[in-house]
Amino acid sequence: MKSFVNVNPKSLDEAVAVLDRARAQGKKAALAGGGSDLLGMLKDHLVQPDLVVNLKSISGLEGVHREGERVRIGALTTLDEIARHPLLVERYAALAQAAGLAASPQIRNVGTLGGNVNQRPWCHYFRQGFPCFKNGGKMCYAVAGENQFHALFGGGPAFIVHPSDTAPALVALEAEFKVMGPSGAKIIPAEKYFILPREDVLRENVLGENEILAEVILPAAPSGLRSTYLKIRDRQAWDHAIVSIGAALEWEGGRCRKARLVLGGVAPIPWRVPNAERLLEGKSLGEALARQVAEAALAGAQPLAKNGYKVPLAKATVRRAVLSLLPAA
Amino acid sequence: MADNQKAVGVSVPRIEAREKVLGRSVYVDDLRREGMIWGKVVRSPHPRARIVHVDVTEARGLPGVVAVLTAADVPGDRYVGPLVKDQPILCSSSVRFEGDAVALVAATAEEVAETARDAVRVEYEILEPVLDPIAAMSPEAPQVQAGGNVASYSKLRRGDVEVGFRAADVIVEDSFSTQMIDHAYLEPEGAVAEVDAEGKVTIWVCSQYPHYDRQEVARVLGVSLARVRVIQTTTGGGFGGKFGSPLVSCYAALLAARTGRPAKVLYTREESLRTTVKRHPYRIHYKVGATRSGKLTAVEARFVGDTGAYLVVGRAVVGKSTSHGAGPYEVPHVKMDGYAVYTNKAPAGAMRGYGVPQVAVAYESLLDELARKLNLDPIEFRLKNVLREGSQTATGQTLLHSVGVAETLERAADARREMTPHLKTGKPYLKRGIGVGVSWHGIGAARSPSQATAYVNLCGDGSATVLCGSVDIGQGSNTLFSQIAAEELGVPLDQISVVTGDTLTTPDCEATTATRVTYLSGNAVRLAAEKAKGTALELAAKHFGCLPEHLILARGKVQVPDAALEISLTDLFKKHAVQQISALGVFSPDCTPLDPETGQGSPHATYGFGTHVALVEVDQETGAVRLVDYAAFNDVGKAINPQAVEGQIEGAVAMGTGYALSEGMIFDRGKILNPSFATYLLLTAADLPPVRVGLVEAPEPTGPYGAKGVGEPSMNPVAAAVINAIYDAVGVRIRELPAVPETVFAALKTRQPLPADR
Repeated sequence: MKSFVNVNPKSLDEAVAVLDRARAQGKKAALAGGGSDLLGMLKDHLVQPDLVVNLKSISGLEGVHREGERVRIGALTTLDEIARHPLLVERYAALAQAAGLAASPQIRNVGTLGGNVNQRPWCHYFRQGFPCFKNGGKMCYAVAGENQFHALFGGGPAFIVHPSDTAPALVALEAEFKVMGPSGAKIIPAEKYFILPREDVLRENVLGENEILAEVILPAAPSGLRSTYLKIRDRQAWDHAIVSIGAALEWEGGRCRKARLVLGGVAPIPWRVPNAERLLEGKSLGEALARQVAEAALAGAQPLAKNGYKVPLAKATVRRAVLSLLPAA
Repeated sequence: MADNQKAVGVSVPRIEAREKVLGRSVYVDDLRREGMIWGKVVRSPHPRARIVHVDVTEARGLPGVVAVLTAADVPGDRYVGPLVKDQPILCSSSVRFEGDAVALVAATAEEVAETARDAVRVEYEILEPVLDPIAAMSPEAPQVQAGGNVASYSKLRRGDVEVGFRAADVIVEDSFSTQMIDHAYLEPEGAVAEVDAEGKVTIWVCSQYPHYDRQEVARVLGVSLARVRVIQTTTGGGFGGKFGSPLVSCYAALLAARTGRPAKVLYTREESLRTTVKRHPYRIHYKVGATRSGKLTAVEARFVGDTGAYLVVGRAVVGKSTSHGAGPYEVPHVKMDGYAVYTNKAPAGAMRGYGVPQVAVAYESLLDELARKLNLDPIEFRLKNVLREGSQTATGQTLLHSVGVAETLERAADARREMTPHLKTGKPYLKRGIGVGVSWHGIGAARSPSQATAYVNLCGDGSATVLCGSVDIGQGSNTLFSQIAAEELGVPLDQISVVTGDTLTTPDCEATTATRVTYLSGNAVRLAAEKAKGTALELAAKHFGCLPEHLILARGKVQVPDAALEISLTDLFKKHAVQQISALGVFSPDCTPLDPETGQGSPHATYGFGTHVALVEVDQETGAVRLVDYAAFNDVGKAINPQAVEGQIEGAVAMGTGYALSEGMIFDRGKILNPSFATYLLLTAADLPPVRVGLVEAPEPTGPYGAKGVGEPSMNPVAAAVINAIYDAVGVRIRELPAVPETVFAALKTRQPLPADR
C-alpha cells in the first residue's frame, strides 16, 4: 500500500475544500466512509491516493431522519441501521431489504449507504488490476473472457455491472441524492446520478473529484406504495447480485397507479425498464401480466458468450418481485 | 477424570481450546524476533514464459533492502518436491505458472520489501501456455516439463471388463469434470527462520510435516539435517495444503542464512490462493454395468488429473483415484486408467480426499443412473453391492474386519425417511430432492512401509509426557494423544503433556495427512504408553510378589484389585532408583504395495466408510441450489473424541458442499481471476443447514481402541450426495462442478419433460 495522508475534516465544507485543493494541486484524494471497500482497493493498489479524507470525523452525516413526509438518510448511515430501521422497513421496504442483503453482517456493521452507492465495480478483471478500461487501459477483457457476471444492457466500452444493492432500490423509490461541492449543495435524482461507461468509462456516477455524496432523500411514500428488493447470488452472504431488482408499485383500487422496476447486476448502472413499468400501469396484476412484464423487462438484452443464463433468471426475478407486491386484499 | 471414567470414547474439549479462544496461541504472524527482516517473493505474471533477464539493481539500491536473491544465490539444491524434485525454489530459465517464483527480496520493513519486490525487473519472452490437460497429453503439445506432460500413469486391472459388460443387462456411461479448488484455511502459509551463533537454522512454520520441511531446507541450504530445526507453530488449518510444499520455509531459511538476521515470509491471501497447491481438477469418463437383479458386473474408468506446473503429489493422488475408483463396492471386473498431467497452472497437490472426491462424484452419479434404469431404490441397490466383511476390493484386498459401510447405508435410509416429509415447498418453481453419496478412504498413504513413532515418559507422580512427530493442524490430534495416554496410564487428561512438531525433540512420524494420525500415531502413542505402564507394573509386581497382569495403574498408584494393597509410583521409583520410565512405541500398518501393472495389492490396512444424505432445494427458474438438510453417517471404527469427530464431519460437509455448489478458481488464459475471499466463493453459515452426524463404529482390531480415522472419509461423499439430490429434485444430471446457477440452469434447459410435481 502506498503511503497517504489521512485528513479528518470537521465539516462537509472543510472536506470539500480539502478535495478542491487536492484537485488544484494535482493530488489524488479518496473518500473514506466505512472504508470496507476503500481499504481493500488500497491494499490491492487499485487506488493510490495521496490523501484519504475521513468522513467519519464529520458529525451529522449519520442517521435516518423524518422531515415532514420525507426521509433524509445521512450518507454515513450504516447498512445495518438502514436494514433494521422500522420506518424504512415499513414504508421503504425495498431499501431496507437491499441494505440487509448487501455484503455480510460484518461489512453491514461498518459499510455505509454512501459507500454502497458509490462502490466500484467487482469485475474480476478490474479488481485484479488488469489494464482494462476501468483501470485506465484500452480494453474490456470480459468481452472475450470470463463474462458470466457481466452486463446484458448498456455495456460498452466496459461491460461491468453496477455492484450496489441499495442503488436499484433507491432508483425505484425515486430517491434524490444531495451532493456537496465547492458551490454548495445540489440535488440529483438517483436515476440521473449513475452514468454509463460510454459517457465516462472511468466513473460510475456523476460525482466530481471535489464533491461528496452527503445525503439520500426519500420522497413521501404515497399511499398504496409497496416495494421490494430481490437478489439472486451464488452464496447467501458476502456476494454480489447475479441479478437483482428493486421494485416499487403504487396501488389504487386494485390497479397499479405507477410502477418503477430497476434491475441490478445486469448493467453498468441500475437499469430501469420503462417498457415493463408501462405494462403494469393502470392494470390489475395477475400471473399472465407478470410474465409479460418480465418479458418486456428483458427485451433487448444483449448477452455475451457466458452470461445468457442471466436473461431467464432475471425474468423470473422480475415476475416474482411484482407478484410479491400485489396489494393487500 | 474419576477412576471409573474412561478418557477414550468421551467427548472432551480440545486441550488448546482455551489458548485459542483467549487469542494466546502463537501463529507465524504473531512471531517477532529482534532485528527481523521481511521477505517477499517476486512472481511471474505469465503462465508460461522464458526468463530473458532479471535486473535487481534498482531493488538492491532501495534503502532498507538487505537482500535480493535469484536462483544463482541458492547454495544447495535448487529444486524441491515430495515425489520428484521438479519445482524450482526460484526459477532461472523459465516460469511455468502465473505466480512461479523468480526472485526473493528482504527488507527491514514489510512495506519496503513490497516496494523492492515490485522494483525487480524481469524481462520475459511470453510463450503460449498449456492449459487444457487433455490437449497437453498430445505429443505435439508444448512441454511443461522436460520429461513430457504426462507426469504419471496408474492402472488397475481386475478380471476382464469385456466379460463384465457382456454379463451386464444395463450399462451407463458418462463424462464429468471437476474444478480446481483451494484449501482456504484461515491461516495462510508463513515461516520465520533464524540462524544461531553456531550457524544452525531454526524455522518456525505452520506445517503438516515439519520433518519434511527440514529435509528440503537442509537440501536447499546444502547443510546436514542436524543443522536444521523446524518447529511447527499453531497451525490454522492444512487440509493437505501445508504438506508437500516447503517453499515458504525455504525462503525464510535462505534469507536468514544469507543475511544472518531472523527472516519472516508470510504469504498474503492472494499469494496463497494464486500460488500454493490446489485440489486437482479432473476430467473423468466412467462406464458401469449391472445385472437386472442389481449386481454390479463391471466398472471402467479413465481420468486425467491436472497437476499443474509441478507434480507435488500428483502421481499419488491419481493413484488413490485408481485404487478407490470402483467405490466401496464388490465389482468383479474393473479397469481404471489414471493420468496426472502437467499444465501451466498452479500446482495441484494434496487436498482432503486425495483424488477420491472427484471420482466419487462420477461413480455415485452413475450408480444412481443405474438404480433408476433398474427401477431399484438407490440405497437398496447400493446395499446389494457394498463391501462387507470378507469382500474383496477392486485392488484384490480381502477385508476381514471393520467394514461398516452397509450400516452407514441403513442409517442413511432412516435419515432419508425422516427427510421425506420436507420435500414439499409450496412453490411450483422450487423443487426439493434427496440424494445419497457413498464413499470410502484407505487409512494412511498407499505404500509400504509406513511408520509412526512416539515416546512416553512416565513420571513418578503418574503424569506423563508424550512426544510424537505427528502435528495437530486443528483437527485435534494432540487432544487425542492425551486421551490415549491418559486412558492407558489411568490419569486425568490434565496429567498428560503432549509435545509434537519439533524436529529436535520429536521423532519423524511422517505427515499429518492421509487420515493416518489417529490410526498410525494413535497406535504408536498407545503402544508407548502401554509399554511404560508395563514397565511400572513389572516393578510393582516385584514389590508385591505377584504377576504384573494382576495389577492396575491408576492416578499414580499401582493397585492390587480387591485388596487394600497399593504403592505410589513415587515410592516405587524411589525404591528402584528410577527417575522416570521412558518407552518407545512404533506402529507400522500391514500393507502390500500395489502392483504397477495391475493395481492389485493391499494398499491400506483398513478403510473408513461413509454414507451421506443431502436434501436440496433447486430453484428451477434461476438454477440456484440450496442445501436444506444434511445427514452424515461415517464408520470411524471408534470415536476416541466423539465431539471432535462430529466437528470433523461438520467441517467436511461445509467444504464438500462448497466443492459441489460454489467454489472454484476462475481462469482466464491461465491467470486466476478470483484470488480473494470476496470472489472465491466459500460457503458461509448462511448457506448451510445444521448437519446431523451419525457415528458408526465397526471396530478395527488393529486400530487404537478400534479407531480408524475420519478426516477424508467424511469429505469424499459430500459432493456426490448433493449432485444426486439435484437430480432427484429436478431430473438433471450435473456433470460439471461446481453446480452454480449458470451450470444448473444450462442443464435444466436441456432437460427432458419435467418430473411430475410433488
